[in-house]
Amino acid sequence: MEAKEQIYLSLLSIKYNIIREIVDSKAFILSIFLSILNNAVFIVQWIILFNLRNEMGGYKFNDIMYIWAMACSTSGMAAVFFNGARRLPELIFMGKLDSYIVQPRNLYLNIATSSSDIFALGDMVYGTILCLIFLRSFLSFVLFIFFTITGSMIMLAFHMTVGSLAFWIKNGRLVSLLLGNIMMTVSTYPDGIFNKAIKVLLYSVFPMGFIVYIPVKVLRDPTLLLVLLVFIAMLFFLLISLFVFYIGKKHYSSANRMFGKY
Amino acid sequence: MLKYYAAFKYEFADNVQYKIALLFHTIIFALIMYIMMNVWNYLYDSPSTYIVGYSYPQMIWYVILTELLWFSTRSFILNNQMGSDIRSGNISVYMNKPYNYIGFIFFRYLGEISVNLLNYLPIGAIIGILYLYVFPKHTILSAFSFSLSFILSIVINGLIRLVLGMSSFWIENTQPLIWLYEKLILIIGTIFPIELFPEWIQNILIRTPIYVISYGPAKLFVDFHKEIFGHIIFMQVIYIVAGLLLLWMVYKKGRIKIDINGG
Amino acid sequence: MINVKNVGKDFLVKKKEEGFRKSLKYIFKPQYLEINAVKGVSFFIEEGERVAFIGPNGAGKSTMIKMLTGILTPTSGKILVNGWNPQKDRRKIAKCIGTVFGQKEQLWMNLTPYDNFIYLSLVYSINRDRAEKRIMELSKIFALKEIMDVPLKKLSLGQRMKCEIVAGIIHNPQILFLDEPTIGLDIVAKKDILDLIKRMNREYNTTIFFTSHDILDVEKLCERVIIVNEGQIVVDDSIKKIKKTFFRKKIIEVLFSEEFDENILSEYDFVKHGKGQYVFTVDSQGFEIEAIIKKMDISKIRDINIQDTPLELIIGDIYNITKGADRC
Repeated sequence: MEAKEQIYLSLLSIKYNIIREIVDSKAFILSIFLSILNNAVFIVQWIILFNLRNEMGGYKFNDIMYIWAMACSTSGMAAVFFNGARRLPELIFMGKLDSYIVQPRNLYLNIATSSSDIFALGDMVYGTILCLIFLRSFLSFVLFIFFTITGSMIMLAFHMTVGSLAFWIKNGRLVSLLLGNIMMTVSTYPDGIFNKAIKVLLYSVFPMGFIVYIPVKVLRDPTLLLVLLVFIAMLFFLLISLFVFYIGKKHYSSANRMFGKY
Repeated sequence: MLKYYAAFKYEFADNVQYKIALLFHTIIFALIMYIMMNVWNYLYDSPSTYIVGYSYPQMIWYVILTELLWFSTRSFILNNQMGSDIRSGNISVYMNKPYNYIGFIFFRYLGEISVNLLNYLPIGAIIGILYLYVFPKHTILSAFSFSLSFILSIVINGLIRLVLGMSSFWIENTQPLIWLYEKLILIIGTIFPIELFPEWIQNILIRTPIYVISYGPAKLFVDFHKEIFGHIIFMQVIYIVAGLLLLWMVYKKGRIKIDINGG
Repeated sequence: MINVKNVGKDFLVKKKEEGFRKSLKYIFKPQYLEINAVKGVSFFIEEGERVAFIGPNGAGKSTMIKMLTGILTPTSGKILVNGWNPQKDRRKIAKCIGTVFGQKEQLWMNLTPYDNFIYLSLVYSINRDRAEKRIMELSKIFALKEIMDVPLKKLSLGQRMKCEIVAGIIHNPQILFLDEPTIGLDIVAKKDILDLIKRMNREYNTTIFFTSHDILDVEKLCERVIIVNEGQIVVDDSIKKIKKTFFRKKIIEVLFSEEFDENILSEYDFVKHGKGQYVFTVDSQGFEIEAIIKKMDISKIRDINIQDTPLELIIGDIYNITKGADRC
């Protein structure tokens, strides 16, 4: 019941966001188109690089396209459904959590779904198109959807965790932006080219391993064990983020200290 | 001239304030360099091989130079400030001042990105030297020609951004245009030299801004030839003249629009 | 209804240093300053009471209201709202309290009031039919019918504040917390809103907890006043009693166009501020205001201004009086 209501609420919030942006529908469609184009330009880079060598870090050209499909669809879905998580540091800094705290809903979900970046629909669409173009089987499409959901949940956990830093540090907004950028920058390159230390980071602090690399491995060669692993990792990262968020919430100061009122 | 210098100085001092943001951008810069080194490391079988005429160190220095140019020339003044000034009508206030508006805002841009250059140039050099242990060999002539094309590339980049910003007179949101411009430069002009493209695409690219603002200075830095130098500078001068003409036309039409709409 | 025992709240404020090197140093070794915003406050509020929590800026009013609603966590002491702890039982409490923050909008600015209310009734799990009924009812009381389909950003501040209040009571809460709801409003809008809050209290027996730094608001709305200063309760009493003891003074500023004879008014308490400029402090309970003005030559008055004593002065008074009482 609770979950159903929450999903309905978050869909309503997305609808409201669309209403807001759609005022200028031409500009909206143009923006979506441009964001697709923005992603598509990168294909050039990989065509050129794969001209030099037909394999990179264990990945073929098609696999790189899978990496892109996964990275775009997960980050797109996270931005459409859980943009509130990305905005968490800003909400904390400006003291805007107040109105969510006084509502009788699960605070974590309520904040995560409080806003929606509907321009990220472009990323979702692009990811899906790529997946369909390079599709191998119906199963791989089902897996793609499954991993898009788990991936966006892990991203949600990531953003809630690093966003919660703003409960403690004043520059939390910049820091979490930086960490998010680092993750997105790395996420579109094959992990095979990195050394071990970076790989460890990719499966811990910046969990792109579970969002992109393992899913791509499964898409190429379906293994139930890895699917389970991704699912468990998702639960693990969600738990960590819940923990950090609720500890941080105790330090919430509702912008009182920021404006030097005291 | 003094007032343009003042604009430069003011903007320089203002941008020195944003140390933390600059520090964070620098971290991203270093990260991208790290990724690119890994990519090229993977593509070069051994340190002695050549890819389209570039040795491994040359390739890395090429990427360092184009990346640092890309990071340094992203301008808040030209990309955001000018557009919002035009849309809000504030621009008419600046236009009526006793100076040339274009010159004025251009010097503000130079002040803004000088801070970036002072940051990224040494950091790029340090990253390159620590990683490769070699610095490209230079004669006085090659160092001079590289510096000249480097400066001209920054000027051209500013002119193009000015034209894009001025399009705010007609387009509501110029941000997507600027994104696209930066993306194209980033993907086609920074990660690898244009020699990697098939010949017919190369012939096109030589005639695009990518050749004069990204490829040109980097090529002269890693692999200096007199003929290339001559060609790059020749193209850069053409771009500057054409850019100024275009800018002048756009600005004149924009002014008329402001006169009609009353700012 | 509300039970507050010995509650304190401290904030840690990072010391700021100028200069890059020093700020770098503080990244690794931050220095904190502890600030006690609320110090050992206790009070008890019954169901259906209208209580004002007043004090000068920075006295700890907002901090208190935010602790009662579960937004801030108290450093020490115990709070029970409706028998629950606002931090642990946040969701239970949220269902039976309403909040209105004058300085923070809780609604979506580009949506209409109607859409906002429907969204909120979902947040509070009210089914659609009941929600529609409730919205109709409230829009009648608050006279919002005409603006129900106008996006909020196009409404005036007063209209928006009305919507904020409706949003705060959409679920018919037992307790309504209002933090400076009249800030920035003009007199008409202010009166409207205060009347409506009073009506809520009468019709639904809603407990009202209200903060303000404006004494006039408090007089109009509340029956009990808690005055705080520097994080501590200075006075907690009924408005009638407080009015008699502390709010009785008015300040009259007069500017005369020509020199006038000070002797005429020598029996009153006044200070001369400049040429022809006088400030009287008088007791508003008696007939002093009338008497003073009668004695002046009205044709010589260029400007006159009668106002309440500012809260800071009253608190000063209170300190003096309570200290005096101690001595007796």
